[in-house]
Amino acid sequence: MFMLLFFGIIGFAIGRVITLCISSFFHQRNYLNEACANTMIILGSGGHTTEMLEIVKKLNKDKYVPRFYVVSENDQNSVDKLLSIENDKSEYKIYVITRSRKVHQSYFSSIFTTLKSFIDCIPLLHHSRPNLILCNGPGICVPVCIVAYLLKVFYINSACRIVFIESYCRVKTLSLSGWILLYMTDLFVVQWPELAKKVSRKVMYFGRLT
Amino acid sequence: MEFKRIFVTVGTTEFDHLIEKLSEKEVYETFKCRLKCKELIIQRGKGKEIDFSHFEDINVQQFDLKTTIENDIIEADLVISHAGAGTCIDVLGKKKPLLVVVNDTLMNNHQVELAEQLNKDGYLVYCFLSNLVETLEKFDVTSLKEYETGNLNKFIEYLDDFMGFI
Repeated sequence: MFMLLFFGIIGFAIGRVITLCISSFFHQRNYLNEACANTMIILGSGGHTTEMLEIVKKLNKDKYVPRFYVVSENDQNSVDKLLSIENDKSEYKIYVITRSRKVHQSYFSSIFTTLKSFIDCIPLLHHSRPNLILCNGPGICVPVCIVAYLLKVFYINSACRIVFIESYCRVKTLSLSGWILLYMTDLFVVQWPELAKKVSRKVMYFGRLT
Repeated sequence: MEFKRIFVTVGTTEFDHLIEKLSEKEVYETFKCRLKCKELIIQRGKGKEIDFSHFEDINVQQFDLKTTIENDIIEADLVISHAGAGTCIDVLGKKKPLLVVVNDTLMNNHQVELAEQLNKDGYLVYCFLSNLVETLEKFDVTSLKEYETGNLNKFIEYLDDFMGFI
């Protein structure tokens, strides 16, 4: 009986993953038709944060609202930068999550911190129920996007769109986060023609964004 | 073309090989005679301070880090920098001639790819430490194109449509 249930769930998940993957190639419009979208923005270290905030500055603040920023612990720099572009406290919220692996951390202990960062993502995504996740490749976007994808697979938050913008400095190869998340995203943007031709038919290319 | 004020920047890392190379006599001659440099400003990051006392006719200033180097870029006639993406964007955005020196001691440095690409598109000149002097000798600012800002608006429009906002 349990075996049957187990295989049923696995079968369902596989079917759902295949459908999501195929539909992500067509970039269907969102049928929510709501006036605004809960937007989650994932900030990483240095360059990633600067690039992401340039995009956020251009978003229509009345439509992409409320905005949930995700930063890794001890990343005061990203917090300072985002505070310089946000002024209405009712429109945004900042979440802090554990980093999967700090520099010089041993691989063994990083298993636990990775697990912790996945667990951190569950309440985060449950409270904010994003309609859109914007990320551009810092390490912490991997657990957030994987958990958001699983919630989609099991129809817990199926209205969530994951948008990945590959960093400006990626000219010929995808970043590791990009490779991991490529087929989980609903929209994947690269900024250089060579990369657009090479990776997959799935990627979108608008020219450089910077 | 005269480059009276040259600004060298290595970002938040260190690139001592570049600063050492710049302090060589050969480079001094090129700066003085070919580029007509009068002032050299060096932002050396985490690297060590290097002696420039033999640069008799050029006024050299050095510092490690600053909250913003925006003014240093604006005031410069030529910027020599490491291949960091952030630095390249900052300098090109301010429409300053840029020479990127690639740190070939860093392995798998994908930032080299960015320098190559921006060079191919005609926005900057790049070189390695080994050919720095020749590159400075034949540096021609008229061969460079002005950097055009990217297509961020196109992406935002697409995203609005994608989210069902149009």
